[in-house]
Amino acid sequence: MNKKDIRSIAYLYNEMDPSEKLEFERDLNKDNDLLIEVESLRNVSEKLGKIQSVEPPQELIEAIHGIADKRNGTAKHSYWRTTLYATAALILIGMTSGILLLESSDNNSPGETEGASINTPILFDNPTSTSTSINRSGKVSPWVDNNEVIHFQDRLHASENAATDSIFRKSFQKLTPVTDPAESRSLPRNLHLTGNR
Amino acid sequence: MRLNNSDHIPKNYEQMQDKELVHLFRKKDDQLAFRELMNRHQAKVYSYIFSMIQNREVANDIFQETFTKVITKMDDTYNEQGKWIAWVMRIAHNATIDHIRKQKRFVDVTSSYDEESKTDFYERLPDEDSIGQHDKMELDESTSSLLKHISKLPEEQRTVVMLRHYYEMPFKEIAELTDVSINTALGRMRYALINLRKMFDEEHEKESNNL
Repeated sequence: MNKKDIRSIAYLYNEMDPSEKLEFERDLNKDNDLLIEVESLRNVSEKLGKIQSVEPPQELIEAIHGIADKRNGTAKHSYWRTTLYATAALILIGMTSGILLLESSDNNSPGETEGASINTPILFDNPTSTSTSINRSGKVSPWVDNNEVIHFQDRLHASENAATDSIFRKSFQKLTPVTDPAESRSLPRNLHLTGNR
Repeated sequence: MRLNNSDHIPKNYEQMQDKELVHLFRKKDDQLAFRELMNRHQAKVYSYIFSMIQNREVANDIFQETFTKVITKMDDTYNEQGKWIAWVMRIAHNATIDHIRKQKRFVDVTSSYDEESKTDFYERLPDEDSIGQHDKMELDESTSSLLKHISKLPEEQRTVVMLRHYYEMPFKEIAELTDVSINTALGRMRYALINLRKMFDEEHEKESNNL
């Protein structure tokens, strides 16, 4: 079908831009055959315009609304399922972290430190880690590392010297210093103790 | 055309554009938004399907299939950039054409001789005037007569006629929906009108002869 043939349809159904429409109307005035074709097609098109729309049955509409409602339910169900999974995952992560933290604190607990200090043959501080293990509260807290080495290290204040000295004295009753305490008088004070007499 | 139950839908929904209603339904599962969308378009979608199929029961099935797909696929396949109703019409059109083509495919005229009734395919065909008699009774006479003529048009011409006259769809959208150029869509409409003109003339001649 050539473009000339479809112009009458484009004109009838307002599918032309204003300049095309103007040109086509000029042709209509000149060409009687074209005018007859357009008018006869318009007549058929107007008849088609009388077609009435057909309503779907009400029960069909209700059925479709029911399907839409189910989608709503499914979406809600899916939301709750997601929430449930997220909560379970959080609880699991929390429990795992808790267990790990507990294990970690058990390794560092003072009670075990004391036990370890009795059984450990050689005890000494680790001067290289002093900067990372300073007790900010000002108290001296001996701790045992994974190699069962007892550590005494802190930045000591004059007011806490008595408490620290008390810990030292208790340690001296059971342990032997590795180094001469006189050599480590300068700050930071380093104390190496051993279980061997 | 709006249904009576549209009274239950708040006024502000009636003032919303399709895309706002679609957004409410997709994101917030707003059922009222979906009802408003249905109210706006159900008659045109149903009319298109019915005019193509000319059978109430089948039209009901295809209409339900269309909206079931609309509901279930809206989250996955509908792009909110495009017109929602054009997307719905594409689903309705595809379902309708699928049905028509299946019907054509499954009728094997040569091998359909029935031994029991001793009849062939043509003898078992219902009388043309009795097709969808019940359906036609629900429609007014002129619509019924027009649909009878339209049903005789080739499928592609019928599609263009119905999309344009029932749905008032622009030819550009008809062309997109049917995967042809706009000139082809306009050409199909021209042939459809010429064919219908012939049918009307023949009918008129018949009536004149009867008188």
